[in-house]
Amino acid sequence: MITLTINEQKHEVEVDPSTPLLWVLRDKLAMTGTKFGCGIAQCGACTVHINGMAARACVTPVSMVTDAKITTIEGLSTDGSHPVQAAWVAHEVPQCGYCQPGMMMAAAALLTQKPNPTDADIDAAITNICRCGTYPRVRAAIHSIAKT
Amino acid sequence: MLPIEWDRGPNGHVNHADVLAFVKSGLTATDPLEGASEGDVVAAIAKGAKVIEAEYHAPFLSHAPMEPQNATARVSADLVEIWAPTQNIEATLNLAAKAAGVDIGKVKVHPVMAGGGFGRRGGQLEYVPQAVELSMRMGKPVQVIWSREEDIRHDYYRPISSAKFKAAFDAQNNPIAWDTRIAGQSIMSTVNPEALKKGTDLGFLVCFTDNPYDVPNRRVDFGMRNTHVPVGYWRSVNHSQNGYFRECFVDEMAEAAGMDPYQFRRKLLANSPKQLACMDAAAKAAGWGRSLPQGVFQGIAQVDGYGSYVASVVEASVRPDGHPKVHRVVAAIDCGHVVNPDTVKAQTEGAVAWALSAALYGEITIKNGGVEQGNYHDYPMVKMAEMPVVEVVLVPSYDFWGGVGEPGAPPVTPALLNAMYKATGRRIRNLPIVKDSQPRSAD
Ligand code: FES
Ligand code: FES
Repeated sequence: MITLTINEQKHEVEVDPSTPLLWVLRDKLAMTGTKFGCGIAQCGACTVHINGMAARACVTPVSMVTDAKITTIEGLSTDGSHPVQAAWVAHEVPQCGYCQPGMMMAAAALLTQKPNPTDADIDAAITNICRCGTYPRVRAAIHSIAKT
Repeated sequence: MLPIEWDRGPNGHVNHADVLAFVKSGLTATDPLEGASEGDVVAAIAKGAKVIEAEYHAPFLSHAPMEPQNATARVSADLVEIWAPTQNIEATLNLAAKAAGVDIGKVKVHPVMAGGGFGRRGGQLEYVPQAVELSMRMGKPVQVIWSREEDIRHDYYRPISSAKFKAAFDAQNNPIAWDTRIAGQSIMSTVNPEALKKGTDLGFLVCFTDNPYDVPNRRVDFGMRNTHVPVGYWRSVNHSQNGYFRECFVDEMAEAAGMDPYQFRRKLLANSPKQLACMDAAAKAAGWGRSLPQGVFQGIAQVDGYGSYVASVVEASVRPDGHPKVHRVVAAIDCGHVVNPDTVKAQTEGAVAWALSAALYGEITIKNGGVEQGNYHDYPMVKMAEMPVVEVVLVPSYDFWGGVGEPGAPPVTPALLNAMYKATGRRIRNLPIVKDSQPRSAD
């Protein structure tokens, strides 16, 4: 039995300790906001926060995060009011939307560390893939939060 | 664990060099399929004061949408239910009915949001019958999720193709003939072989059969070369390779004529007012010919398709290792009526990323009959750091309805390659750029 703290709630799950956090979230806990895109830390669709830092859940064995504070897209806010979520709506960022939970988690972590990120900071921190090509709007949305 | 011994099938001996040689043999075939012809191209070329030639190539490409292919099936005695991201509900229904051996009246499809489709989830939905068969055998609902590797290795790829051009000019540098041979794999050979029984696939020659550039003697023909690799509709389809071929060669023609590439296009598009207006809008918004930071150059291209007109100006520089940095893309689009301007802009922005990923990195190669690439590390995408500033100019002429999902992509690649040529003096005629670019030792 493994105990996890996700979005400030404790969860007990019966899984092999090497199971990636992504599949525990999706298959065991039905938290499907976190997406699967590659499974090898290339795309960022599975980005969550581990102790406030952006991390790729597809390559994070669940045994590594038993003592950590995990936040998923479901926990970014209870009502979609997190500044990143509001900016995403205002800039109409998503197209298909599949990469966007990961994008938003990466952006939220960046803004916590650097409330006024430069373009270079954004280039360095947002390494998620968006096949629909929403990058210009992701950038604009992040800057709009920094300004407020 | 059970040791797996793969049978690689009848094409297990085929490697990429074989595929390339086979496709390129279509460039010199003496029995090409007919495309379109005006005037007498052979006689005009024989009379030309100057003749230029060039050969271009475009690789297989995978769709690689962010959400790998998947489907969920629940088969019970009186109902087959499917949950799947699909671009084609009818095809989903038919495939599920066939797999379950029931009438379509006994099938219910629940289409769910698709994490990107780009043509991959159009008609070739083989993960749907997979889920149905598994559900039948296991007697319970089954969700099938392909790995990224399965997704990239079992795609219906953008066709591989090559183009060979010849253009002739008179003594005053006016173009008098333009001959085009396209070689490559017909999409119909995979998605609708019945249509091919008529012998050809004219859709493969788009951009040439409807070439708007006025040159008195023109011809396009087709050396069809269908490989064993399945091909399909990939966002912007045949315009993706033919737009690149044509607009790069138009730049070569402009150079041969001693003209600015924008002005040369203007001259040959005098009778194509929509293309002309759209290109003028892009050139104006970009400031064609403006003074740029040292090392940055502009390239231009225009391609109409899917009922719309798009022209792009790309501003790029080339690093010492030969790789480009794209600074800015200005795209003008005339899609007739505009319903939601923000959607048109978003689609045109996204098309820039789509085209750049392919131009810079995209290539699917074949080894032992199968696809070599498998994930985003060996089939990479443009990410934030490589994404240029994109400015979209809407120039609707409000007298037709055109598409906006596809047409933004085709002009981007040739505009970039044309800008790179100005920076390096070397034409790239083989994609992806990462493979054909060369370190700039000379400067
Ligand atoms: S699914 Fe984790 S980085 Fe792609
Ligand atoms: S919005 Fe579709 S992949 Fe990013």
